[in-house]
Amino acid sequence: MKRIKIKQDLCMACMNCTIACMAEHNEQGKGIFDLDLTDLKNESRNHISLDSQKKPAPIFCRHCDEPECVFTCMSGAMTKDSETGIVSYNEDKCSSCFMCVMSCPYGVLKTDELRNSVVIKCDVCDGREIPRCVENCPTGCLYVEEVGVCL
Amino acid sequence: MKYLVLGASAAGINCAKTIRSLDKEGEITVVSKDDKVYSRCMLHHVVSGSRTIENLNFVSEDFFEKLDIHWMKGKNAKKLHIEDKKVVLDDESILSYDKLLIATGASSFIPPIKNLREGNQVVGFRDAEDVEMILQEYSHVKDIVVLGGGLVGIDVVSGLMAKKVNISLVEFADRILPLQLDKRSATTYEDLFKDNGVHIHTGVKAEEVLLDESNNVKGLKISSGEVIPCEMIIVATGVRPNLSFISENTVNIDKGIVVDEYCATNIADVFAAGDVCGTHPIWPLAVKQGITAGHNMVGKEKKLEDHFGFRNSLNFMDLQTVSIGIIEPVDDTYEEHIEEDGIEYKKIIVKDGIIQGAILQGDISYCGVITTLIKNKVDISKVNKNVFDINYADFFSVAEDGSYEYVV
Amino acid sequence: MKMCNSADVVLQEFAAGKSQETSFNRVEKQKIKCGFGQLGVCCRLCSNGPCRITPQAPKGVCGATADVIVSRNFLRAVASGAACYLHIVETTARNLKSIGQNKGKIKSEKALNDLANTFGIEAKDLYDKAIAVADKVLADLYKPRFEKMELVEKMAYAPRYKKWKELNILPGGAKSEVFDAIVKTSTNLSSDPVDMLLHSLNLGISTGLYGLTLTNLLNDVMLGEPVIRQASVGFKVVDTNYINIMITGHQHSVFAHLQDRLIDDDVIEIAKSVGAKGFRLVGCTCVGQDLQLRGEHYQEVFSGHAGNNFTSESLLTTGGIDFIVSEFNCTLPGIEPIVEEFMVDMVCLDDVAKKTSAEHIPFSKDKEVEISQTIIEKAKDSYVKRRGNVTIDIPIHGHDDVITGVSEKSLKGFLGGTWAPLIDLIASGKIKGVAAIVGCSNLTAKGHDVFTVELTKELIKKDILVLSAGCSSGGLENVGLMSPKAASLAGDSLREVCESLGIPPVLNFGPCLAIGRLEIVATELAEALNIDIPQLPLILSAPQWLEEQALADGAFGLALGLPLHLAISPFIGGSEVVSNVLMNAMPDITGGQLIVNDDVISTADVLEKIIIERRKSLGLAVELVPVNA
Repeated sequence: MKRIKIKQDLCMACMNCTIACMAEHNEQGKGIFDLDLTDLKNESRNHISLDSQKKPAPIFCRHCDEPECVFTCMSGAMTKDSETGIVSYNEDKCSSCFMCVMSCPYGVLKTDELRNSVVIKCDVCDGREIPRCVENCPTGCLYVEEVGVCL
Repeated sequence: MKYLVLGASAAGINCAKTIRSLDKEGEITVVSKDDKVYSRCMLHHVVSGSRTIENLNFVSEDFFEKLDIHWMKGKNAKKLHIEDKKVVLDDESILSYDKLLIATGASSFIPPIKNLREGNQVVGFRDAEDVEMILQEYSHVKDIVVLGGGLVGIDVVSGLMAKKVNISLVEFADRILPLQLDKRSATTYEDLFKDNGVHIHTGVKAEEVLLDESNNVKGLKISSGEVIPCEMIIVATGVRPNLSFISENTVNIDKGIVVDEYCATNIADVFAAGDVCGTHPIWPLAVKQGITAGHNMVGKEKKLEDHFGFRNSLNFMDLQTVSIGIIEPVDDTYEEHIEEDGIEYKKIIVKDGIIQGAILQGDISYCGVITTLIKNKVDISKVNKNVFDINYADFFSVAEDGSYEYVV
Repeated sequence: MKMCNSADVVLQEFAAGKSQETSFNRVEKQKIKCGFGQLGVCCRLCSNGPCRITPQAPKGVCGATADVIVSRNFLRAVASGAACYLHIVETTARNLKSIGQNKGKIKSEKALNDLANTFGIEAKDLYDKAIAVADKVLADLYKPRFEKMELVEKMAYAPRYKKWKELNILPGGAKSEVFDAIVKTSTNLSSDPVDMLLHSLNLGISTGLYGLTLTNLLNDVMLGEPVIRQASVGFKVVDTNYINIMITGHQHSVFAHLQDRLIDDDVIEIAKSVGAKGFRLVGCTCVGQDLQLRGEHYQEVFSGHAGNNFTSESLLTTGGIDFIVSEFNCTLPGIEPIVEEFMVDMVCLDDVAKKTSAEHIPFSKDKEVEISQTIIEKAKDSYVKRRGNVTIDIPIHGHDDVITGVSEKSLKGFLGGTWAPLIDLIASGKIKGVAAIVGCSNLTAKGHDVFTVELTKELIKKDILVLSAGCSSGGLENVGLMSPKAASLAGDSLREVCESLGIPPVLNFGPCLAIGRLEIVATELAEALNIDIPQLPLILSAPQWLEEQALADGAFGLALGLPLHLAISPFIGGSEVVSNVLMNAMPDITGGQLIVNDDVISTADVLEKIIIERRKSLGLAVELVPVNA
């Protein structure tokens, strides 16, 4: 499968990946100038966290080989595609139990700010050739690479 | 190879799916008493009317066809013959197997309270039939008592709230959700329920069901002496594993079927997974046990690495809570960290640099890290941070294939 | 090396064949833009920052909202841009004053008299007049903020002046207004977005009337007025038989003495002594455009305009440039490694444009004789040092029939001393309207000059006459749109007009400073029609605006009440208030309107629609007159 890979040392916490993700998933249009940064509806599927030394770490969905979010999902909303390896989230199937949020070992998942009813989850830009976050990473911290086959 | 899977819920389905992914040729049969695949943890959404039973299907419509699995629905196992590796069903048909998974789940336990088992409108909350019965009856009913304030009981209450009925909840402990929540976080929910018209009776026992001459439910007498008038009682006081088809002195049974880390029983080629094992009745463990059993049934050795059952996420009235590990300090060697902000509440319990438990209410963003730290007993003493600020960045490491790992 | 596109295909191919890295290459490596920066919601005003606005963090640490951060950033940019132009007019006025004091060369008495009349100055002696005119300008620039500048009323169109007074945006001393804009936008000072936007308009007025218009008019006195003529443009103007001095900047009067000196016999002898035929100035950036505009007076020393801001690096890679004199922007940092490689020495006459590799010779009019001599010697030495040691490769690039020298006066003169013929053409619909395509070139609006050229082509197709000033004109002339033959690209009606007059459909007003000349054209047209500027079927577009100066120009356009199109957002998208005020409320404030659109076709449609609307409100024919009517 193709995975967004991360070179942590190159991350400068510019958050361009974050804003790119918001723009890509903005219902008002995908251009950066369509993005209203004061509207809570615009949420990023990735985020940057700092460790105790203030070193930034890009927290991105790994589309895990053994995805806890899928194992814990009782509604069938979280599924892993056996061919692409992508872990997809189907908002309509979700029962908002948030076991996935509780179980993602890397703290990638959260609930949406406005309605608290769906999970904010990376969809690898839904088939976009290069995910928007990768395209907008100015340091080369993010890149896409083919990794071994998944189950 | 003939695989037989008894049960079509989390464990059974995931076991069958795993087998198929590892053995393209094998003959797989799934037997279930239900004629649908559905997520029983979501039945309360059917009660509320927000979903149908069909909507609770957690696999694709064509699951059985696509994976070439023979599904015998609406049937129960009646007898397991371990010597000749056969299972007799309630329609007297006989199925032989090379490998067997028992994932028959559990059933509602109706406690021995006076008249409870006799009442006509007394129902558990476990199966689609329970829901059907509730939906048939509730239109004639003004008052419903939910017996048991654990997760299932509160699910029922939240489902019923969409209906025009008076709801009373009776719980023996001093608060609702006593296994998941402390007093503070439970009270928040209790207040929300009360604000929505639910009558909550905690710290009381159910003593007697009042019936009329035709055994119709008329009320519930509780230990405070009060009589709660009601025309229906939904019982959510626990479950018992479905083991009636297993003869004594065959498969080892304790609280449920006893399995090892391969999900194997003491009997060769017989595996068990899910609630029938009677350990932690939570969905993710059933899934993982099913997957583990599936591997081992095909002959691909796999150990169950996750036994961690003390975790639950709750979402009632748009207030989310997760409860992981212990909920109160055991003694004063445990540090308790609390952060409160309006309705939001966070509590983390630490002992000797290891997080033992956490309750997060209101804001659960990215909280899977805490679950992992508790589950894996990760030492956080080197992380120079407020415990509430700890996140995956503090353990960040990327493996060769791009997956994340924990570095302590 | 990867590189961006240029509308100028020959230039693009030439640059692609060179090994030197230029902006064309670097823009590819800078493709990834910071979204927060693009939206203008990053604040670095204090050590609690940098703060960035996100839905989860809607305010900076201090409490500043997106509206506050964006408006602060915007006003700061406009203030810096205004400061640049005010620096130019200050230098220019000081030079004129010095000419008066030293009884130097006044090339247009008429221009001086016109200015003196406008200012209400009566002096018999020409030099006294020059001093008085310069003093008036300087006095205004140096006033405190609480004293309004006096020349605004004399320079501005009366209905506009009234409007500005009403809005309370008449500027006090221009430099003080810049000063307080900096104060206002500093840490924990103003948090009123509307006040900051009005301050931007105030700065726009002093930028426009002083930085642009007066710079032109003062220069007309010292350097001679524009005369319409045909000229050569492009790299082909570089003649390697000469010692070629490339000039970059905006302050033409700074080398007024030098340009005259270079053609004196003794100086030509110096060139000849090292084997060259003489000295030549090669035009580049806006000051080259200004030389071209006044080219009638500099036919011997000026070889022609080679190209605009982002052409300068490639021009140096021809090897044909022997020396550089810089006095302002756009002197790109990117030329430094190239001049090193091509062994080109540089002097800088104004430290605001100091390059590391340049020798700074602070210009002063009193020492100009000496300074010119030094430059001549250094240029000669550089020539001697480098020729034979560097590869010279001058491509066949450019045109010989570019119409230049267009100004508010020369154009009116061309039309017979009255605007009536142009007004008639507009009224009859043969010319649908006028578009001022101005500003810089950037590399991000589809590539070097790409948006400017494409938009211009679309507009002339719609029979809209295009006037251009700034680096935009450098691009438009190099692709042939300012040659009479470009009439064939216009709509039938405009084409007929151009062909009958022998003019191109795109008129070349020269440098960005000449945006001030366009303002005079607009004012005089409005005057002739007895309407206010926002009623004219005239639009302004700075499609490829680059720098802070362009934003100050833009603020002037908005203050004038013109629709102003930009292809790239001026970093305001993050603020609803700022966007709303500039894009939606401005028509009711000044009559102007900001339009941000990065699509050529829809921009042309939007601009055409505005022109048609205005024609309608003026009661002019909306359907075009058939070509042969």
